[in-house]
Amino acid sequence: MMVGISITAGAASDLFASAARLATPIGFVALGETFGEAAGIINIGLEGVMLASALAGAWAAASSGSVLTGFAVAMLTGMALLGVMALLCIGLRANQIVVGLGMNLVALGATTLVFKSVRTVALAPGLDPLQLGFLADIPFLGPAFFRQRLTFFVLLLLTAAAAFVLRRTAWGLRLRAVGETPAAADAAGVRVDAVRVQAMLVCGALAGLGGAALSIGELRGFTENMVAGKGFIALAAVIFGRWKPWAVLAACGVFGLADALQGQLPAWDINFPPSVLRMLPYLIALVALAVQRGRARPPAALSIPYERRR
Amino acid sequence: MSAVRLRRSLIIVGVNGVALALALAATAGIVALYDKPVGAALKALYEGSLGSAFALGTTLNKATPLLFVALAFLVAQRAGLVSIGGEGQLYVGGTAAVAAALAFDGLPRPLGLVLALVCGFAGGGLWGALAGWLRARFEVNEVIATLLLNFVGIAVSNLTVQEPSLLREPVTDSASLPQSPLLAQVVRLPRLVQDSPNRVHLGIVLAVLAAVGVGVLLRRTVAGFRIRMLGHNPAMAERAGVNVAVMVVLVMFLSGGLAGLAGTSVLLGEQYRLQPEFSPGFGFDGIAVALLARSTPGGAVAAALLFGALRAGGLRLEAAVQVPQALVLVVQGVIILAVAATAYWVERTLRARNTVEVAGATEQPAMVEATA
Repeated sequence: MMVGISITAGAASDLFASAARLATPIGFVALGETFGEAAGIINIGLEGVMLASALAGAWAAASSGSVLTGFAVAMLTGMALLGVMALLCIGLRANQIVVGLGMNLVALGATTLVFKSVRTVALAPGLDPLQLGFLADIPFLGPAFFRQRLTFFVLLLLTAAAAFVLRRTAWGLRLRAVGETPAAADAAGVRVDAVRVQAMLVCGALAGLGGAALSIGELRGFTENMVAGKGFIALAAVIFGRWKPWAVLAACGVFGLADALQGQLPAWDINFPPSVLRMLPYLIALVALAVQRGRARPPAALSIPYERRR
Repeated sequence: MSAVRLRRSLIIVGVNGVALALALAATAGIVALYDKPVGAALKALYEGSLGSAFALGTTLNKATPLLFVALAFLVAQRAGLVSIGGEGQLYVGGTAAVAAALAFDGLPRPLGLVLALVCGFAGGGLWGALAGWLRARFEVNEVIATLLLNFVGIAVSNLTVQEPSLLREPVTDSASLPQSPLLAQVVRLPRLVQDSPNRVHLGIVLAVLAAVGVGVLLRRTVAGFRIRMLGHNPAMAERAGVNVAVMVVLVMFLSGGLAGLAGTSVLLGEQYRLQPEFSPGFGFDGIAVALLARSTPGGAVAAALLFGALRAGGLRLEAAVQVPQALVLVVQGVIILAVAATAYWVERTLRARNTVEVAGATEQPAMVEATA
């Protein structure tokens, strides 16, 4: 199967560069879901949210000519959709998994309808890769990580911010408390529902950014069902990353690498079934969960609506 | 007893009626946005789903996998397990069925077909049991395990049609598609009506039989009682002598097997060969069907027919009034969201009623609590 491989350092550097590029949109979404799950909300509908905000963002960027407007609109779209989900899941105590599935269907259907009626979303102004000064000239690391688009660096900053907020702030503590033991948090005076809604809105904003990072940042436009499972990959990344921002980001990196390899292997004349690479992220996440049993628990109240005992 | 059940049915029918009305309103709204005549669109939906022998057959065939997956979901749900792994189980089951059908097509009718069905069930069942085992042995949350196994299952299925050493038909030239050879006539699910535009096949009969079987299993057998006990109170079930770990694996095997038959029916009854990505999300839509049915087998039959009709009508909609059939996805999604939004209220109302009648209170586990 493998014939005489000689992978140069340059090729490996390219591989990591495309891994980081492919992981970026997933990273935003996964980071958002980290907030949601920490607060006890599982969102199977990320795929749909990402898709809808990708379209909204691309459309806004194309019609306004401004990348920033595109990202802002995508972010608002994500927040609006998560607002609806919050209304259903928290206001009406609806089953989170079912609401997520419904959201996916509505988003896939609606974006296809909109896309087919406008036919084309004009080419959105995109983001060009940056050259981060002398860092871009570091051998190997420079081309791999310091010639990325702005979105990549924003993601790194946001991950650092998320880690700080979740670990070190009172709000982060409350967030995790409502995800672990909502009854105790409630007894301690935390408004469980309010904190969960806030977490979902943060999740929506980040998922929206993820959608825009895909449509504006990378592909400069929208195509039908362009998210193609990335929302689900983000979910897997949150689990694989054990609900910790930096680990979740690393998980996205691993998944991005599997994705990048799919594109690279044929170029290196390595004949490896793409399906195997495609299942790898999910297998890794499953094995990791099974191996770390007990130590890798999801937030205890994940997917359970909170209802005050009377 | 009957008064309680009547009231329950009335509430459910009422709520579902509201959900459907909402969905119809959404349909009309979208069609109007497209500047197309709403009446013509609704007529096309009707004609495409019920208006002719062909349409009726399409509706029944589209309902078949949805019903199987709905049954798969509700069996697990009764045991307190939330399985969203229907899609992956459907792929693995369908792939196993095609592999068996290709291997056994030399056997006398109907032996090859029966073996293929058994393999379809077993394939999906093993995929489900894998999630059950991960939950029982390694404490991996079954929602997460089934979700992740979906994508592995789809990839495994795709792999078998991409590799010539597995199920891929011989590659003759560079243009040959990654797909399995066409199945022989003897291993296909036979059509119920010969020489008619109505292409309904045996699958719907099997699915309805499965619904009856699941109903009997849950209500009339010891195993079913244990399943429901597990769903209500795992700790109590354990104390009453139920081996919880074994039961979880067995239930997930049954659930996965039913989902496997969904894939099997599509491949052996309609597509006649395995291709990559052969399911347009039946495994997820079936969950919606189970939800709409409030997790009763009888309700699942009705809900599956409704969603089957929507799918069939959607095909016609696009041809007749040039509204993309993606409209149907929105309609389905709206129904799901509307039903989900009212589910809590309905359950609470019903539960309040049921506490009066103790025996009736064991009707349905609160799914949300059981996920913990």
